[in-house]
Amino acid sequence: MNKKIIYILISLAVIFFVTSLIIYLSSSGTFKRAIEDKKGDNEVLEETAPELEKVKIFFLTNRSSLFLPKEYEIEKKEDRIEFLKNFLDLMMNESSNFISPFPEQTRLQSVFYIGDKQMAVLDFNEELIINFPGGSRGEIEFIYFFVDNLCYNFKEIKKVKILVAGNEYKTLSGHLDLENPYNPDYKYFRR
Amino acid sequence: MKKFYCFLTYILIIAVHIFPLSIKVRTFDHNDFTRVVFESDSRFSYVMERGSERDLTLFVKDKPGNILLRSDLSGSELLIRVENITNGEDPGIKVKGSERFDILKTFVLNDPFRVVFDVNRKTGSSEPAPAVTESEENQNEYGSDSSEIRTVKKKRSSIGVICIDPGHGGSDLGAVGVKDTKEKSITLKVSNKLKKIIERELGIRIVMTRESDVEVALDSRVAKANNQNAQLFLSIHVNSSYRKSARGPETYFVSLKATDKVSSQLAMKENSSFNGMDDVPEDDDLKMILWSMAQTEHIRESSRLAEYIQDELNILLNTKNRGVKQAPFRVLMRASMPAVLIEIAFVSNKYEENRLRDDSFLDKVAGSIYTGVSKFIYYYNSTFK
Repeated sequence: MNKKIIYILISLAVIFFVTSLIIYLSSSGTFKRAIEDKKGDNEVLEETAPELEKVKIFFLTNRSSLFLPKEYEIEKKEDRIEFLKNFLDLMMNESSNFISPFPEQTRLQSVFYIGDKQMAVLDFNEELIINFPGGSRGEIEFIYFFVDNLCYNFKEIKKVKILVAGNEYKTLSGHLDLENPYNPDYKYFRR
Repeated sequence: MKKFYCFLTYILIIAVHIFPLSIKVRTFDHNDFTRVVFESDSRFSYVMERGSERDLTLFVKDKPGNILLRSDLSGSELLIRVENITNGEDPGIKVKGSERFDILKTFVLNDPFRVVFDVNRKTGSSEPAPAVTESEENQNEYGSDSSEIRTVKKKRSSIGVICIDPGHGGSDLGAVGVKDTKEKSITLKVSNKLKKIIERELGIRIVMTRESDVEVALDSRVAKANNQNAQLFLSIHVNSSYRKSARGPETYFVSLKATDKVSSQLAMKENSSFNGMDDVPEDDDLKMILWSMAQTEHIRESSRLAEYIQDELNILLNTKNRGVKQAPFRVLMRASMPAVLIEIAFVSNKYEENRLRDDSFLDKVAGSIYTGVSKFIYYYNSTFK
């Protein structure tokens, strides 16, 4: 056999071997990392396995003039503000399956909790005022949907103040006073 | 000796009749009251009585015999006649009015001795007039130990002015139905109808917060009622809800404990020693707080007024189990008189929107509110007169 051919074959074998080795090593590393990652994920999941907290939200329906209850379990949070936000998110989105006592475009811009006053402050966007259809009953349904549900489910909340676009308004549409925070009035709930 | 005493008594009796007590009665109309003065050279004890709402009688005690009466009634259109009368041994002077009148104040002045009554025309109600309060009796600056007021009663003016507040107006449409029925138009129509009925049937002066399609600020509405000394405040509205099945009339009076501020104000008031706003200190914030709870003084009457109106609307609309409701309505909170907010029907309900578009239905609504109001006035007069 030609000596030149032998060198070529040996070189090819070396290249093949080295390439195979590189591929093997690299692929096994990725796999290992993947396993580690997967393992890590599982560990994280195990560590933060959500502890659930039962809440009862009262919704407006066509069946009754009173708010009717529905129970949910939502993820418990150490940060109670986060939990409050999740609760409000559930309230506002879930209410689409019932009767939403607010205009469709209404969004909650921000939520505060003033500890020394035990007061939650809800700041809605301006669409609430612009599109609110009016009526005393409509205002009562809107205000107490939030006030009663929050005070009922959060023992640290004793009153709720409603702002619109960061501002204090006298009323929503000419009826109930909005300048003062509200205490709960559970006569609107069917418990 | 016995004969001597008999002689003295005889002389005394003759003297009393020969030299009767001289009293001059004069009257004068002021801007917002009429003053009647009984003037004499010598002091006398007296009792005031009222036989009807059109007269006032002053009986002189401990001075039997006739009264030499002189009178000058030229200064008054209200008090038109004066005459001598007797009640057993007590002589008296009756002053008659051309109209029914209330006694605002009575007091005594000396040098010369005068008994003074301030009276004014009685407006509105056909119920008997209230008389003088115990506190007013005590206002007698010079004292009147020997006098008494027999007709001491709790003073409470009967209803003379009612404020009707047609909700919304101008660019504030209020609630709007699917057929474009606007709350602001319905409230104005019903309010105008109600105004006519009350004026016609009860003769009570009506103050309207708006009489045309104009926007009036919420706080200005109740300010107008307060400034005009309205004794009832009726805010007329049309309801709306996202719950399309909601229907029926709703009558509200203000809730005291709904909002935190009012609740704490109420507690503060209940815990404090003062009973009324007159005793409030100079602190402006405190004054404002108390002003914002002006309605607390009238909450019981507001509740009763709401019940009477709601009952009538229930009958009209054939609704059952609909009681009155409480909520912190801004327009009611600062009202310093019994105040209610009436939601006639739901414009968001298809059936009720159609009824709201029917003028004859609005006539009936106004009639029902009127009946409720008149029942309340009867209750008010019989309770507080």
